[in-house]
Amino acid sequence: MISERLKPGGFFYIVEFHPIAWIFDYTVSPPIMKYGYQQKEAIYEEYQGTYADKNSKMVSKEYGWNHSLGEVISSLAEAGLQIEYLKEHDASPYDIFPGLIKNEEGMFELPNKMYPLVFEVKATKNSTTEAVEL
Amino acid sequence: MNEAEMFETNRNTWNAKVPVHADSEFYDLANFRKGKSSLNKYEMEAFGEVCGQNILHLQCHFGQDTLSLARMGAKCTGVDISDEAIKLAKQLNTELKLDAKFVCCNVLDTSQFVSEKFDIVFTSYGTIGWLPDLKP
Repeated sequence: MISERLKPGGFFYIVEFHPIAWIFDYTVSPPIMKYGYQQKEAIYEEYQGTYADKNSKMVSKEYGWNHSLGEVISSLAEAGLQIEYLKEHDASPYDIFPGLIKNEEGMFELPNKMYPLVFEVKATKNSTTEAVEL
Repeated sequence: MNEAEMFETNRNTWNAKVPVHADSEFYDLANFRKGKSSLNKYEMEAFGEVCGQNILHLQCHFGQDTLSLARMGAKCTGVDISDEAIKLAKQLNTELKLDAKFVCCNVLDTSQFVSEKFDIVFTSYGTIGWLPDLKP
Protein backbone atom coordinates (compact mmCIF):
# COMPACT_ATOMS: atom_id res chain seq x y z
CA MET A 1 0.00 0.00 0.00
CA ILE A 2 2.77 2.43 0.94
CA SER A 3 4.68 1.79 -2.26
CA GLU A 4 1.46 2.03 -4.31
CA ARG A 5 0.79 5.51 -2.97
CA LEU A 6 4.32 6.88 -3.42
CA LYS A 7 5.49 8.73 -6.50
CA PRO A 8 8.77 7.45 -7.91
CA GLY A 9 11.47 9.29 -5.96
CA GLY A 10 9.08 9.90 -3.05
CA PHE A 11 9.75 8.64 0.45
CA PHE A 12 8.09 6.90 3.36
CA TYR A 13 8.91 8.14 6.83
CA ILE A 14 7.93 6.63 10.15
CA VAL A 15 8.77 7.85 13.63
CA GLU A 16 7.43 5.42 16.19
CA PHE A 17 7.88 4.13 19.72
CA HIS A 18 10.63 1.53 19.91
CA PRO A 19 9.50 -2.13 19.93
CA ILE A 20 11.61 -2.81 23.03
CA ALA A 21 9.24 -0.51 24.93
CA TRP A 22 6.29 -2.75 23.95
CA ILE A 23 7.53 -5.88 25.72
CA PHE A 24 6.33 -4.38 28.99
CA ASP A 25 2.89 -4.42 30.56
CA TYR A 26 2.34 -0.84 31.76
CA THR A 27 -1.06 -1.52 33.30
CA VAL A 28 0.74 -2.72 36.44
CA SER A 29 3.21 -0.75 38.56
CA PRO A 30 6.08 -1.23 38.27
CA PRO A 31 5.77 -2.45 34.65
CA ILE A 32 6.70 -6.08 34.08
CA MET A 33 8.23 -7.74 31.03
CA LYS A 34 5.29 -9.63 29.57
CA TYR A 35 5.02 -9.56 25.79
CA GLY A 36 7.27 -11.05 23.13
CA TYR A 37 9.46 -8.62 21.20
CA GLN A 38 8.22 -10.18 17.98
CA GLN A 39 5.21 -12.19 19.09
CA LYS A 40 2.60 -12.78 16.38
CA GLU A 41 -0.41 -13.13 18.70
CA ALA A 42 -2.54 -10.09 19.41
CA ILE A 43 -2.19 -8.37 22.77
CA TYR A 44 -5.46 -7.36 24.42
CA GLU A 45 -5.49 -4.60 27.02
CA GLU A 46 -8.41 -3.03 28.83
CA TYR A 47 -7.82 -0.09 31.14
CA GLN A 48 -9.36 3.15 32.33
CA GLY A 49 -8.09 6.41 30.87
CA THR A 50 -5.95 7.14 27.82
CA TYR A 51 -2.35 8.20 27.26
CA ALA A 52 -3.54 11.77 26.73
CA ASP A 53 -5.71 11.90 29.84
CA LYS A 54 -4.94 9.30 32.47
CA ASN A 55 -7.75 10.58 34.72
CA SER A 56 -10.44 10.12 32.09
CA LYS A 57 -13.16 7.62 33.01
CA MET A 58 -13.29 6.20 29.50
CA VAL A 59 -12.35 2.54 29.20
CA SER A 60 -9.88 1.71 26.44
CA LYS A 61 -10.28 -1.76 24.95
CA GLU A 62 -7.47 -2.40 22.54
CA TYR A 63 -5.99 -5.15 20.42
CA GLY A 64 -2.41 -4.50 19.45
CA TRP A 65 0.44 -6.31 17.77
CA ASN A 66 4.17 -6.11 18.43
CA HIS A 67 6.51 -5.61 15.47
CA SER A 68 10.27 -5.99 15.60
CA LEU A 69 12.59 -3.55 13.86
CA GLY A 70 13.51 -6.42 11.55
CA GLU A 71 9.89 -6.83 10.47
CA VAL A 72 9.57 -3.08 9.81
CA ILE A 73 12.72 -2.90 7.71
CA SER A 74 12.15 -6.17 5.83
CA SER A 75 8.55 -5.26 4.99
CA LEU A 76 9.65 -1.94 3.48
CA ALA A 77 12.47 -3.63 1.57
CA GLU A 78 10.07 -6.30 0.32
CA ALA A 79 7.79 -3.54 -0.98
CA GLY A 80 10.70 -2.38 -3.11
CA LEU A 81 11.68 0.64 -1.03
CA GLN A 82 15.29 1.53 -0.38
CA ILE A 83 16.10 2.08 3.30
CA GLU A 84 17.83 5.44 3.79
CA TYR A 85 18.26 5.11 7.54
CA LEU A 86 17.11 3.50 10.75
CA LYS A 87 17.75 5.73 13.76
CA GLU A 88 17.09 4.92 17.41
CA HIS A 89 16.70 7.60 20.06
CA ASP A 90 16.71 7.61 23.87
CA ALA A 91 14.40 10.62 23.99
CA SER A 92 10.66 10.70 23.20
CA PRO A 93 8.73 13.91 22.60
CA TYR A 94 5.87 12.37 24.60
CA ASP A 95 5.84 11.43 28.27
CA ILE A 96 3.86 8.23 27.74
CA PHE A 97 5.86 5.60 29.62
CA PRO A 98 6.13 5.47 33.43
CA GLY A 99 9.15 6.97 35.16
CA LEU A 100 10.59 9.07 32.34
CA ILE A 101 12.60 12.20 33.11
CA LYS A 102 12.65 15.43 31.11
CA ASN A 103 15.98 16.24 29.45
CA GLU A 104 17.37 19.70 28.69
CA GLU A 105 15.57 19.76 25.32
CA GLY A 106 12.20 19.12 26.97
CA MET A 107 12.08 15.51 25.70
CA PHE A 108 11.53 12.43 27.86
CA GLU A 109 14.05 9.67 28.58
CA LEU A 110 14.50 6.65 30.81
CA PRO A 111 16.64 7.70 33.80
CA ASN A 112 19.20 4.97 32.98
CA LYS A 113 18.82 5.14 29.15
CA MET A 114 18.80 1.35 29.08
CA TYR A 115 17.06 1.19 25.72
CA PRO A 116 15.82 3.62 23.07
CA LEU A 117 12.20 4.83 23.23
CA VAL A 118 11.82 6.00 19.62
CA PHE A 119 12.98 4.90 16.19
CA GLU A 120 12.80 6.52 12.77
CA VAL A 121 12.98 4.95 9.33
CA LYS A 122 13.16 6.75 6.03
CA ALA A 123 12.75 4.67 2.88
CA THR A 124 12.71 5.90 -0.70
CA LYS A 125 10.87 4.64 -3.74
CA ASN A 126 13.41 4.32 -6.50
CA SER A 127 12.45 6.46 -9.46
CA THR A 128 13.03 3.54 -11.84
CA THR A 129 10.96 0.86 -10.05
CA GLU A 130 7.53 2.17 -11.00
CA ALA A 131 6.73 -1.00 -12.98
CA VAL A 132 7.30 -3.42 -10.09
CA GLU A 133 4.78 -2.07 -7.61
CA LEU A 134 4.02 -4.53 -4.86
CA MET B 1 -12.27 -13.09 17.79
CA ASN B 2 -11.19 -12.48 14.20
CA GLU B 3 -9.12 -9.54 12.98
CA ALA B 4 -12.15 -7.63 11.63
CA GLU B 5 -13.73 -7.74 15.10
CA MET B 6 -10.46 -6.64 16.67
CA PHE B 7 -10.27 -3.65 14.30
CA GLU B 8 -13.89 -2.83 15.21
CA THR B 9 -13.09 -2.90 18.94
CA ASN B 10 -10.13 -0.60 18.32
CA ARG B 11 -12.23 1.74 16.15
CA ASN B 12 -14.82 2.05 18.93
CA THR B 13 -12.08 2.83 21.46
CA TRP B 14 -10.58 5.47 19.14
CA ASN B 15 -14.02 7.00 18.60
CA ALA B 16 -14.41 7.27 22.37
CA LYS B 17 -10.96 8.81 22.69
CA VAL B 18 -11.71 11.67 20.31
CA PRO B 19 -13.73 13.94 22.65
CA VAL B 20 -11.42 13.11 25.59
CA HIS B 21 -8.31 13.89 23.55
CA ALA B 22 -9.83 17.02 22.03
CA ASP B 23 -10.21 18.40 25.58
CA SER B 24 -6.80 17.21 26.80
CA GLU B 25 -3.71 19.25 27.61
CA PHE B 26 -1.76 16.57 25.74
CA TYR B 27 -3.33 17.59 22.42
CA ASP B 28 -3.63 21.27 23.43
CA LEU B 29 -6.22 22.14 20.78
CA ALA B 30 -6.51 25.74 22.02
CA ASN B 31 -2.92 26.58 21.11
CA PHE B 32 -3.09 24.41 17.99
CA ARG B 33 -6.02 26.54 16.79
CA LYS B 34 -3.88 29.65 17.39
CA GLY B 35 -1.19 28.29 15.11
CA LYS B 36 1.03 26.06 17.24
CA SER B 37 2.41 23.12 15.26
CA SER B 38 1.89 19.63 16.68
CA LEU B 39 4.99 18.29 14.92
CA ASN B 40 8.13 17.32 16.81
CA LYS B 41 11.85 17.70 16.16
CA TYR B 42 12.37 14.24 14.61
CA GLU B 43 9.71 14.46 11.92
CA MET B 44 10.42 18.13 11.15
CA GLU B 45 14.07 17.31 10.48
CA ALA B 46 13.15 14.31 8.35
CA PHE B 47 10.66 16.21 6.18
CA GLY B 48 12.82 19.19 5.32
CA GLU B 49 10.92 21.74 3.23
CA VAL B 50 7.33 20.57 2.87
CA CYS B 51 5.80 23.56 1.04
CA GLY B 52 4.22 22.30 -2.18
CA GLN B 53 4.78 18.62 -1.32
CA ASN B 54 1.95 16.10 -1.55
CA ILE B 55 1.81 14.27 1.77
CA LEU B 56 -0.25 11.24 2.80
CA HIS B 57 -0.57 10.96 6.57
CA LEU B 58 -1.57 7.46 7.71
CA GLN B 59 -3.46 6.88 10.99
CA CYS B 60 -3.81 10.62 11.50
CA HIS B 61 -6.26 10.60 14.51
CA PHE B 62 -8.03 14.00 14.31
CA GLY B 63 -5.49 15.46 11.98
CA GLN B 64 -3.31 17.81 14.02
CA ASP B 65 -0.08 16.74 12.31
CA THR B 66 -1.82 16.64 8.92
CA LEU B 67 -3.13 20.17 9.41
CA SER B 68 0.21 21.39 10.82
CA LEU B 69 1.79 20.27 7.54
CA ALA B 70 -1.03 21.90 5.55
CA ARG B 71 -0.34 25.15 7.38
CA MET B 72 3.25 24.90 6.17
CA GLY B 73 2.02 24.77 2.57
CA ALA B 74 1.89 20.99 1.98
CA LYS B 75 -1.01 19.37 0.12
CA CYS B 76 -2.15 16.80 2.64
CA THR B 77 -4.44 13.81 2.88
CA GLY B 78 -5.06 12.18 6.27
CA VAL B 79 -6.41 8.65 6.78
CA ASP B 80 -7.84 7.18 9.98
CA ILE B 81 -10.08 4.26 10.97
CA SER B 82 -12.11 6.36 13.43
CA ASP B 83 -15.10 8.16 11.89
CA GLU B 84 -15.30 10.49 14.91
CA ALA B 85 -11.64 11.45 14.45
CA ILE B 86 -12.12 12.16 10.75
CA LYS B 87 -15.23 14.21 11.52
CA LEU B 88 -13.24 16.43 13.91
CA ALA B 89 -10.32 16.62 11.47
CA LYS B 90 -12.64 17.88 8.70
CA GLN B 91 -14.19 20.37 11.12
CA LEU B 92 -10.75 21.72 12.11
CA ASN B 93 -9.74 21.89 8.45
CA THR B 94 -12.78 24.06 7.67
CA GLU B 95 -12.39 26.17 10.79
CA LEU B 96 -8.71 26.85 10.07
CA LYS B 97 -9.44 27.46 6.36
CA LEU B 98 -6.96 24.81 5.22
CA ASP B 99 -7.15 22.52 2.21
CA ALA B 100 -6.34 19.10 3.67
CA LYS B 101 -8.45 16.08 2.72
CA PHE B 102 -9.48 13.40 5.20
CA VAL B 103 -10.56 9.84 4.50
CA CYS B 104 -12.05 7.36 6.96
CA CYS B 105 -10.90 3.80 6.29
CA ASN B 106 -8.76 0.99 7.61
CA VAL B 107 -5.24 2.10 6.75
CA LEU B 108 -4.54 -1.23 5.05
CA ASP B 109 -7.32 -0.43 2.53
CA THR B 110 -6.08 3.09 1.75
CA SER B 111 -5.51 2.39 -1.94
CA GLN B 112 -9.23 1.54 -2.35
CA PHE B 113 -10.10 5.07 -1.21
CA VAL B 114 -7.15 7.20 -2.31
CA SER B 115 -5.81 6.99 -5.86
CA GLU B 116 -3.47 9.99 -5.78
CA LYS B 117 0.31 9.48 -5.51
CA PHE B 118 2.40 11.33 -2.95
CA ASP B 119 5.88 12.76 -2.46
CA ILE B 120 5.82 11.69 1.19
CA VAL B 121 3.89 8.97 3.02
CA PHE B 122 4.12 9.44 6.76
CA THR B 123 3.00 7.82 10.00
CA SER B 124 4.00 8.50 13.58
CA TYR B 125 3.94 7.59 17.29
CA GLY B 126 1.64 4.72 18.14
CA THR B 127 0.53 3.50 14.73
CA ILE B 128 2.01 0.17 13.59
CA GLY B 129 0.96 -1.51 16.85
CA TRP B 130 -2.62 -1.41 15.52
CA LEU B 131 -1.73 -3.56 12.52
CA PRO B 132 -1.49 -7.35 12.67
CA ASP B 133 0.97 -7.69 9.81
CA LEU B 134 3.28 -5.22 8.07
CA LYS B 135 4.03 -7.35 5.00
CA PRO B 136 3.21 -5.71 1.66
